Amino acid sequence: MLVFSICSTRVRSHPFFFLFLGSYHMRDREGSGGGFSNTFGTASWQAAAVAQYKMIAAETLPPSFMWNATGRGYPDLSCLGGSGNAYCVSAEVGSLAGVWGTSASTPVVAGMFAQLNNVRLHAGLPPMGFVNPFIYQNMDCFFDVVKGVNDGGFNFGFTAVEGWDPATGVGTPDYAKLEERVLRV
Amino acid sequence: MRATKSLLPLLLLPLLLLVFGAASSAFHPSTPTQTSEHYKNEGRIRLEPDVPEHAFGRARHFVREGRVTPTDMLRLQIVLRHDPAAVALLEGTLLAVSDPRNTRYGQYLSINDITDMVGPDPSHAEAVRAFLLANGVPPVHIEVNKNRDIITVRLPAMLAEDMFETMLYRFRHTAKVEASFIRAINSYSLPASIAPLVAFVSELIRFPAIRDLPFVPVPHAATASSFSSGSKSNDSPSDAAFQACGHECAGYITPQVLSERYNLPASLADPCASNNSIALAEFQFQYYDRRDLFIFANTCGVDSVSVEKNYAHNAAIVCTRGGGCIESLLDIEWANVAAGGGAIPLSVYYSMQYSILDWVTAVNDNDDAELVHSVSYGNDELQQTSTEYMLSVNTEFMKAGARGISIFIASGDQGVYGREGPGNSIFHPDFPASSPWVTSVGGTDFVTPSVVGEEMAW
Repeated sequence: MLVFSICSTRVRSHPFFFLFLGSYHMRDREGSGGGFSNTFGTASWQAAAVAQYKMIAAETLPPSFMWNATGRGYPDLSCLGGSGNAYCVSAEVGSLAGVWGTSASTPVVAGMFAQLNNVRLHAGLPPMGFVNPFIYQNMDCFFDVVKGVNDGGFNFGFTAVEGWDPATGVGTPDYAKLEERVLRV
Repeated sequence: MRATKSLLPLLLLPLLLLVFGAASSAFHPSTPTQTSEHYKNEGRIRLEPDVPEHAFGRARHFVREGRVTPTDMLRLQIVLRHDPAAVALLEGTLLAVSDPRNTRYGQYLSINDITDMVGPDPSHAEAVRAFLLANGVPPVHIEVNKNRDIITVRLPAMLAEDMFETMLYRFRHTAKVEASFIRAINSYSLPASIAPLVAFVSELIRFPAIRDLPFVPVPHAATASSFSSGSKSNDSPSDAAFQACGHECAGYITPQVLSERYNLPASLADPCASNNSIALAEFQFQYYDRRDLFIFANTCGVDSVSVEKNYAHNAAIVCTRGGGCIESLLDIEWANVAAGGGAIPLSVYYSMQYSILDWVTAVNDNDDAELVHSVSYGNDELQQTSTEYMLSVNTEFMKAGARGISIFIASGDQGVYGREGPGNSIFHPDFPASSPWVTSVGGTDFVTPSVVGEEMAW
């Protein structure tokens, strides 16, 4: 879940690289993971948000045979991590590199929630634990993402719409709002 | 246009696979298959019975090498069955203690509470232990966890072949050649006396998903153009925040970009609470070296970028010899940035087994487990081989949540089609990102690259 700025190189080193020539560009196969589980049902804490998504996005939903409409929808939230602007990383003893992918988004979100835990612990409150019920009850503390589609460069995907969607979840964190809110729950 | 262009290789691929498949079955002796009659006569029961015979010993990007030798050792986790009613109680408890609207919000359980709630009767782990001892496994190589539901055992691979009545081979990843694993090429079973107690044995049939990233790019200086994929945006960024890590990282995300966009402070408002902590899971032979952490902190002006504690061994030497530690360094550097400029103690868990189960059981058995965990690991649900496995991993996630531990999992980088791609025209959800008991994290881009503002789905 990590992508470097070497996609074209990677394609060329693939044993079947000739199959890819002239077919599609490597970058086209990227995109944030999301959708609905084929194994687990829609979770109780997201049921309302998922139902609302299916209503709002009715016009843009992919053909029904491609996905499980009763599955657990994911992701729950998102954060910068796409290929538009990579993260600056020092690797290989000081060589700076640009890295993107949801592998970059995840430690950033985890770090933010560690800060939110600190706010709560400092106030004598327990840590946040499993945060999904909190996230879906406080969607106004996230920047709603309403553009883009996670089709990975192919024909179908889920479109970001107002509210939760299976491309960006509830959106990206507004730390200032969250910091206040976690003291009031 | 794009879709039609991609059709040709998609049509060719099955043909090629057919040719390769035929060739590989000619090279290998045919796999003996055991009938249910056989199991009955022998007094044995097959585990993970829903896994079809053709699925054993086959995984994309892995090639089969030789049969195991007398010196090959295995580390396995024997996962015991839970009483479904007890798991339902755990699920209800987790939902109550995690729901801000519930009166029990924040009333988390201890490891002992969880053992009392879901731990199988002590006689179950004892029976498995007795079976291992009877087969000659030394007591020091058998470990039962605190919840009494997972027995970790170290044993010679050839002994495992006898005990589980299976055939084990060594497999190697085609791109990341240092990644080699011992796996079964046919079904496995246990004596009927203990099989009903066991859900499955981990690391016997499942293959991990490994990314084929053989080297680390250096996007700056002269090499930049040869790696150009047309997607980099470090030419003429328009926002000053994108320049904050110096000119080599111009156009890349800096701590200032996060600060501006997410209203995220660079340091903690209050001193770090004594019981606060964050941890990262590393699976990919990924280590870190302090020099890179130091250089990153200096370059991007972060107070402190460090690791407080390592579980298992960090081999820093790998990073200084071109070993590709970039994933681990990315995690450590950016978790430190987001966690108040390194103010919150950070730990790293290494799993040489490439196993999410191995990692989560280590967390669940740790009295001092960190409060927040970041995990960048996943594979398509279809590649998880059995539902038993996913359900057991889910139970482990529930245990962590019930203790007040937050788990964040990357949602994957291949869009809706997942690692299997769009070949069969259906989407491929990712596990554990699709688990209902973790927080799944997706990725976004700025609508206008290099301008801090509205974001869009990536």
